[in-house]
Amino acid sequence: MDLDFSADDHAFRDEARTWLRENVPRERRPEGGKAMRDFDFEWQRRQFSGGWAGISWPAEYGGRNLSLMQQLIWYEEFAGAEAPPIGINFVGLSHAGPTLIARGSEEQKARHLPAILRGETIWCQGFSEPGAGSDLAGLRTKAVIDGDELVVTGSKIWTSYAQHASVQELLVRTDSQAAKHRGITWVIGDMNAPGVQIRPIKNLVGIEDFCEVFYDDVRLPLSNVVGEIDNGWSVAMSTLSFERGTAFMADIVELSRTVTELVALAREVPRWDGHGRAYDDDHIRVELAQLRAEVDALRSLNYATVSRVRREGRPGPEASIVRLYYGLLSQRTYDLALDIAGPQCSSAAPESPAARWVRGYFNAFRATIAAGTKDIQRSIIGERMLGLPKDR
Amino acid sequence: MDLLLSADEEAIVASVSGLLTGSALADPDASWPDQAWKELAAMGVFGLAVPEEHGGLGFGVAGEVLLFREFGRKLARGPMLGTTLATQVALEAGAVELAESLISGSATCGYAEPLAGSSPPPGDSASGTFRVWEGRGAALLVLVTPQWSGLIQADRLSAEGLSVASLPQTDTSAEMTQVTLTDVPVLAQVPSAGIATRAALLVAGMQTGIAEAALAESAAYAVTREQFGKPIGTFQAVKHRCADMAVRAEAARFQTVYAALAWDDPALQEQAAGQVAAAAAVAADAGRRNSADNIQNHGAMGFTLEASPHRYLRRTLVLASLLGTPRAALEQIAARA
Repeated sequence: MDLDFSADDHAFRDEARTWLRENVPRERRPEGGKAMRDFDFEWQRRQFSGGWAGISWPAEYGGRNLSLMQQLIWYEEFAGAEAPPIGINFVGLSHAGPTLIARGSEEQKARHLPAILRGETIWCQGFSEPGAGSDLAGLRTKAVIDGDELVVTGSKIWTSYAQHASVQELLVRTDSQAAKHRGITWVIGDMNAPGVQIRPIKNLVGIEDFCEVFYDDVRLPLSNVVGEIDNGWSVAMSTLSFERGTAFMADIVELSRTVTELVALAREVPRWDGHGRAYDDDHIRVELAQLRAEVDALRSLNYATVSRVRREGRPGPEASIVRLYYGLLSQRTYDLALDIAGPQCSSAAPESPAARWVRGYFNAFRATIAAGTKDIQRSIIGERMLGLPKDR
Repeated sequence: MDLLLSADEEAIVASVSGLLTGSALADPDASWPDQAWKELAAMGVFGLAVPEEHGGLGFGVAGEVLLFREFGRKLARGPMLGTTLATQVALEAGAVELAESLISGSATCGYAEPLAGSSPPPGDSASGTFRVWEGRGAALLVLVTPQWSGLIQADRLSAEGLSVASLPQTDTSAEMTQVTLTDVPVLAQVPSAGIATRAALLVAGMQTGIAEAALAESAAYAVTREQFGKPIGTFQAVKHRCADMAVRAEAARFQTVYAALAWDDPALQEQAAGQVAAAAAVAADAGRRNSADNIQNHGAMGFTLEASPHRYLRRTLVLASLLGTPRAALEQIAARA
């Protein structure tokens, strides 16, 4: 056990801090539409040309081949500099890219990885279906082999940024006779192919960031299959291990900043009865202290993930612990924020400080649903870590 | 940066854990095991954090935290907490011979802290009423206060300013007593918060071990106990409660390890005390809630003195009563910028 950072790590941190100070966009990130897409692309391109994209990715695909620790240092500095989120580049950078690095063919890696880093392609995830959410392996979107193509029919849902994306992590059923975890194939989908239809869905926050996607005889080359036909479940598990394990490191660092801002808010706004500040209230002050303690623990759990990945090559089932802890903690943070911000939450103008907390409150529900609900995470912890029997 | 154990750390943890297993040190009904204590000392347990040039093993407080995690897990009894802290007081105060006698196991030391509001900050002599945890048979007491800690002689004293009162025990596997001191000379002292902070770390280590042991007991029971024709761990109500226990145990473990490493690192002194407070809060929460859930998971068996779950609950409650309770840690965090 040690907290030693190498001289390289320190130099990297200094370099990152300096670059971010000079390059973080100061304009506000647009909430949706083409303006948001352009903003996210531009920010990604700026990071790429500065040499800050794909920090832990292999150099031959445009990455820097540095450690996951340095990737984490980058996220820490990124949050510290109040940089805008990676936004629409999230799927490509955080789990499609890592999945291709782990499981893709040379041709697939060469074609897709540099484009992700350069901010040229947006990826989306086609895993969940109307009838297959928590029971992901129950998916029914089917693909049949026709010559050197797969022909896909069915639908996917909760696909974030599908309306902006050009490529997709797509899970399809290629053998309907096999047991449900067999017979699934992981294929790179083409969002611009004929037969793809997209219906954006307004989420709880009021923005269209996820969609339903329909496939009507959509033809994809067999060379787009990642891993082998019918062996997609193990590739999907690889994707999910990144999605649950390392993909939201930036969010963890960000939550720590949010709690700090909430402390500042409590020191500023009046207490519920109008006397003194909210921070003078024992309940608020102690609850905030508890959140601050847990945010520290979350950071330590994040470091534990990095330690495990370094030893074992990828995140293990413990990643579900971090995901669950993060999700519940972010919800409690925004729950308390509404208590602190008080009556102004009921009619917060869009640009007002209170709007940020109301919006965050609604948005935090996402944290125990996406990437596996909290119930699924608990079952994974129970079964894969504690050895309890499966319930299904 | 690596929060997982090195091979050396694994080895010392395994040998201490091996010694405790089946030992009278972890058996509340056995008589006091002098021999096992000497074996523990011979492993270097009380000099674990002591730099090698002073006859220790140089593992730092982080190493001590790992052992206290085992002490918590096994509900070990004996003056481990006091003796470990006393070694540090003696070393920092330059009382080298005293430190050596503690490291070698020839002297032991109980842990003492002032009853809330009862004692003036001591100096060259100590007065006031103190709670003593696991001080039986100890030749010394380490008095731990938030800003000052010191060592006193405790074995020949009722005539010389020290009186001991026994107390009813919530945790019968360890002993809480009360001593009243009147002008007792202080042998060695450290006029800073350092010892109290180390104490908080060691207690957090024990709470982590308790949280992990309660989890392990629940998981084992949930696999073997059957109802409705299935192991109860099949049911999500039980499985998910166990998962929440695992989350708490993991958070307690890594925050305690991180805080201990930060405390050992001169470059992180500024944030270390805050990290220790966070560890204290998170680990106390994990210890208590996991012990409580373990009782629930055992059903009516959990509500008996025949099964073991009550033992974790009793120990965690006593540990949480030390150092101003977890509320003190939370207020320390609240006072941060």
